[in-house]
Amino acid sequence: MSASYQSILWNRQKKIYDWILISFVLLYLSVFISVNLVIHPEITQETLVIRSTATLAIFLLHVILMIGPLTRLNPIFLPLLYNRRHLGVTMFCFGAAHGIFSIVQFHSLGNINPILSLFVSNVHYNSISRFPFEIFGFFALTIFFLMAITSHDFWLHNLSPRIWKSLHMLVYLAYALIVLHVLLGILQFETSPLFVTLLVIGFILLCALHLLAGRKETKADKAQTGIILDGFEKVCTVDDIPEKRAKIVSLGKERIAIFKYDNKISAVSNVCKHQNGPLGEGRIIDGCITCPWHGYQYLPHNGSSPPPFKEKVATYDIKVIDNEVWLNPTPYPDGTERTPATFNTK
Amino acid sequence: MIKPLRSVHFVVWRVLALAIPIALALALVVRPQRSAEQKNVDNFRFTSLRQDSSFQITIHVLNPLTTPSCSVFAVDEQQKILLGRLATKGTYLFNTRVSTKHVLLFDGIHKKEIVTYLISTDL
Repeated sequence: MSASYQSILWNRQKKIYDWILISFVLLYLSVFISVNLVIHPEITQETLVIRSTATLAIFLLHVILMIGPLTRLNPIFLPLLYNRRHLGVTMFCFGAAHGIFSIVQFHSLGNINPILSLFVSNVHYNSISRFPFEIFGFFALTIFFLMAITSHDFWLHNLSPRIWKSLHMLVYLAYALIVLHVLLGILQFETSPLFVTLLVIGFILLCALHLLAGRKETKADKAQTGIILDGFEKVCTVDDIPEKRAKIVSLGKERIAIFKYDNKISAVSNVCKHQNGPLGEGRIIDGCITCPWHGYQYLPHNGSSPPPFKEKVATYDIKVIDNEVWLNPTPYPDGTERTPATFNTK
Repeated sequence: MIKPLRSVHFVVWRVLALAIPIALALALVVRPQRSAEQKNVDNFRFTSLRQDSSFQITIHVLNPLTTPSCSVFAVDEQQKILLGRLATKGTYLFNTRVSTKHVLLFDGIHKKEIVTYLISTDL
């Protein structure tokens, strides 16, 4: 939302987020390396690096994938979402360290290109147990690489939120590839059930959270009142909307956020122009609707960001009759000014 | 998030919820019977792995070699097969015959045996 370019808009929350992340990473690596040195004193430094970076990257990947559904289920987790991209880039860095060390360790001493060696040193493509599992990791890492280099808002603006979001949804394919990498690799060699058990627990948690959140969202998308008058649909009463907050309704093609503020009611698209965050779950701060994901702001009566910012969202006609809120689900073009409906407090 | 992406998310996770448990079960079922042993001999760590009908030897050169040449041979009752050569510090992986009884590291220049690694009969 910056009017002038700044590579990263640092603020206190981002710094705290990153310090916690760095501290966790250092703690994890210290504990993992110490425990392994005690249990396997003969372990080589290369193996330690390969294993510690791999387990850390997989753990971070699970945390990243859990943040989305957790915020859908409970807004208390929203602070985790705020700087998720730093978490993603960190995860990619450790995944890349694992991949590079593994290629150097297992494929660099031959007389063919190490990357080519990854594909041709084991050609049991027709066997499940002897399948060259490394290539799953390679392709997953390629996806994470694309995601990491496009994680900056520069790419979000240039690719458009829709394409950017679609590209970043490849994370699910990457996750499936990582699971296959572990199942057909580690599971085939590792005698201890620890890592596989942890992976299974992680998957069950992840799956349960996503399915629960998906069910909740689908239910919300279907909820409609069905009472229509002159193109307006009855959506709620004034009292159903908390002050300086919104009620989200699902009418037409997309969700609409109905905000109550200063004895007025305005309706805008629920979809933030930045990363399609749910505006209706945000609050009105300093007279502006503030997206709960990254703080993008819009004026409630015209859906435009305050100058000098240029983001705009669609607006809707709304009226209040006998304390009941009626909404016309036909959107006006982004940034169109609509007179807010007014009501009298009891 | 927009409605179409929400639907895609939900579909993707329903597919993953089915596909990954199937993949896990399959991976457990096809898990090969393996036996392995690891032994340090002088400057080398040998790891031998028998899996179904294949045999794999990993040689980890712990410190720089002190011989000008180091060839690796797999020896069984009938023949001696050249597997490759060791050069710098690092890990070398060779696939060889199941019937291999021992692995011989040989300095071809000095015509001298460097190390012989006897594979356990239990393996």
